[in-house]
Amino acid sequence: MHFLLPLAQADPANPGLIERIRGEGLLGIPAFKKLFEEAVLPVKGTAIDLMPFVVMFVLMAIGAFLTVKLKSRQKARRAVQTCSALAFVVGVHPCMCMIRDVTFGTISLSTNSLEAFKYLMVFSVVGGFTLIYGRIFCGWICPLGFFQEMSSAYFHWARKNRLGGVLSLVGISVLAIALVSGGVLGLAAAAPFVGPVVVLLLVYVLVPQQESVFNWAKWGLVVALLAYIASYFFMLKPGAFGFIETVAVWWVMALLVFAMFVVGDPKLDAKLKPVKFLSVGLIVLIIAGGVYANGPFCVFFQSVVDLSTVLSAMGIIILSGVLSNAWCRYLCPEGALLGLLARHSHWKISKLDSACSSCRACDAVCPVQAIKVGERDETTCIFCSKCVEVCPTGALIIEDIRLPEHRGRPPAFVPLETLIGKGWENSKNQGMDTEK
Amino acid sequence: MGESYFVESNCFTEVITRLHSRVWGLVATMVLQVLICFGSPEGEIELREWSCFGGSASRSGAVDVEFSFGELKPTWTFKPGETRWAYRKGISVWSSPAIAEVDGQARVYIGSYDHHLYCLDGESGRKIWAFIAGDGVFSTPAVGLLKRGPAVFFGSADRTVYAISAVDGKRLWSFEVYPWKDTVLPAVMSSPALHKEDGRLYVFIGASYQDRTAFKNVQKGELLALDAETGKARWRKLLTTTFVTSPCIGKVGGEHRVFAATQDGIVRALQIDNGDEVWRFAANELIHGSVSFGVIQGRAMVFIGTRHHSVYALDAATGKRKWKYKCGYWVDSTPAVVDVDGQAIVLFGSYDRGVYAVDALKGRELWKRATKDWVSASGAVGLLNGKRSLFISGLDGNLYGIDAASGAVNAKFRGGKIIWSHVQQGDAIWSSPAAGQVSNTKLLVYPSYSYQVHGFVEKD
Repeated sequence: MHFLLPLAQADPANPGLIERIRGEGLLGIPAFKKLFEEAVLPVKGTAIDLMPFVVMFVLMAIGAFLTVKLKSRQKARRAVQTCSALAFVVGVHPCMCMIRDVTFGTISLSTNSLEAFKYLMVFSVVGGFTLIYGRIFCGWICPLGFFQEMSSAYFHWARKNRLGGVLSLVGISVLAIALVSGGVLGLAAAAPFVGPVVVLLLVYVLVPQQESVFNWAKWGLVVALLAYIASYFFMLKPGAFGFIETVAVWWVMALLVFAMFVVGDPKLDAKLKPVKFLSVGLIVLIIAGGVYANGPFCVFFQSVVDLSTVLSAMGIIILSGVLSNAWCRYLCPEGALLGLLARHSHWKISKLDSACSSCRACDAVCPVQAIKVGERDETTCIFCSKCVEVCPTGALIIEDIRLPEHRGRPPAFVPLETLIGKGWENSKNQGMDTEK
Repeated sequence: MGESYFVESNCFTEVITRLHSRVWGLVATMVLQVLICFGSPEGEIELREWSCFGGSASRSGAVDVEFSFGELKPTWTFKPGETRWAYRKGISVWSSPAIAEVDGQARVYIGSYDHHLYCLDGESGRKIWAFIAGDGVFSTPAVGLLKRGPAVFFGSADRTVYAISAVDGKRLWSFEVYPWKDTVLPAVMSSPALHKEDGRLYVFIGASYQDRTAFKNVQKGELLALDAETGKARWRKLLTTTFVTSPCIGKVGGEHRVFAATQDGIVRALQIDNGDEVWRFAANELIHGSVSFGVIQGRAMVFIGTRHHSVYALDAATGKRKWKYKCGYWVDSTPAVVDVDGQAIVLFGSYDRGVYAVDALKGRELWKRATKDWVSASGAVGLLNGKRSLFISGLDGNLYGIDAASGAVNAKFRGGKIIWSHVQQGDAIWSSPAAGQVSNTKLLVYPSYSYQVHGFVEKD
């Protein structure tokens, strides 16, 4: 937690903590040191490093191999995720905000081939593997996904062990953010933006809701959202040329609102999932329009410690404790892009209809709620294969559905416009053509 | 500094006709007569202070000009007009200015995205003339002395290097690096560096151009050495498929070398007479900034910022890394090298909004100061009220005067908001201020991103 260290070193020329936070922001914190800062495998002697490409290829290959070969994959998956986090967070320094890379890479293809290569090399591996093996990246490699799963597991454990419950933990996290942001002053700075949001939240909170075990979390999220907005406005000011540079923060604000609604009414989950296609469309437009939009991953991959990036990464990881992998479900643009590719993958989790006992064990275990009685939403599924392992009757199998001898029935292929228009939940029973 | 053109005798009359001021004409005539009497001297170029990007060919960014501003209040403001064209990828409002003495007068030369190179009067900010190029002028002009008189050299995005008369803006020669086709893209031209060798003046300039022809895609970054008198190429060296940033020139082991960085992250030292590579150094990421050169305690060093948040110090003789300093984000700013009370300091800005001072020998951080936005420009170091001060501008629209020793902000001037509603991060290097002295006129020029040039003038 490098970025939680004291903000700026004491400086006699610069009075007061608040003044210092406002003025210096995170300037006191140098970027993460990576183990390999210089190119390990330079391309033609330049500073472009082939190492991220090689590391990604090896990890993806291991993930794909183990997914196909193993019966019990979860421990192996954790090991690969840990290796990946170590390799990409402290090892090499790729830029892996894939949407930005793909957009910039495509733009510079005919004008600056070296830059295009730098931007496109990592995605070529991820995209290629996804087209064959599905979203191995999301389930096995993505460090942000891994941290979210860890956060979710930790909060789950805390709740079971009665350590004050998630409320206190969320409360502590929120308090930490609020303290850092300078509390009241921060709220004052954010007043013009906070006002309308507060009204919206009050309406939502005051309207009677169905009693739920998660009711407390709703309040926690309200406070978290306010503290989040406050810290952004107070500390970041302005920190970038325009607010649009720091889109990650706005994305996470939306995610907090989504999470709040879903926690109150779990039925909304399915309705909100297609929003990720809007997310990817919007961010491609922003980036292609010439904005160097940031992503929450920049902290880990590029070792960027600007406040918007740090805040968004923190927000996503903490939020996952309340709603597991919320970022992957609703907004992750990379995930949405890979989800679209995964619909065409060779290897799929298919269902043996005759064996399914409709016990809904798969529903319960899915971290992103992408499966309902064995029917899988391919654009949301992160291919962790927990459902395959938990199925008591072995009705879910991972197989290459392009082979003639495949046994199961692959998920229905839902066209994109139907996905966006009706959502997966509503479209899956409407007799869509299967891919086969 | 007085009038001091050293001109060879065979262009006597031409120089006289080009000198407008009668008094200075007389002085020059006398000087020339003396020169003729004693034969043609080893023609030595005497550059005016801040005659090119970074102040001199070493790009050290430091001048011995003492200002005594109480507060920064511009003496004059030059505004070309209301025309504001749309933002295009890779452009900035102004190039950095050059300050030179012509006809005994202080002159400011500055390029603009509006395709003009402006010549302004240093004392009043009045426009003397403007030269129209075929595209934006983003490379900082360099002012040098030719046999025909003082000349301004610059590159324009129309893939052409121009030499124009510093007196009246007439074109002396132009060198087209790559011919026009309807498939070429705006070129990236670096700021030229001038160097005189064996009595001849040479212009070193990085030029990169792309041609998006369907079957023959051209992506080239070259370093050119042009004869300043004729505009003929002495050598052209293809360095990269990306772009070349501004070269600098320094003396290592009794020999001059050209140092140039390319976007692909390589810093090279080249021989000055044929462009052969002496050493190369691969940094950790892409490079968008330019190299600067300094001699610290007898050791020649080269400094460069990279896009992996680092500044490197390299041994200028071998290209070996001396130290690396890491800050929060990209460094596109050219590090200024300056001596403060016997300690050599490297000063630069970063995209993490900070301005940094690092010990030039060890790479130890001395201080850092936050601004409110990216700092991609480079600094100009002069003396402000007796203290070595860094003048640096950021995308927040401010010009800061920062004490080089302590990092305290001693002066600040708000230049106004940028003329475009949005610019792409890291797309261009934004113009830097310049400081110089011409006879008794001390001049600080700040091109603000609000399409204005501000001049802060002091008279002795």
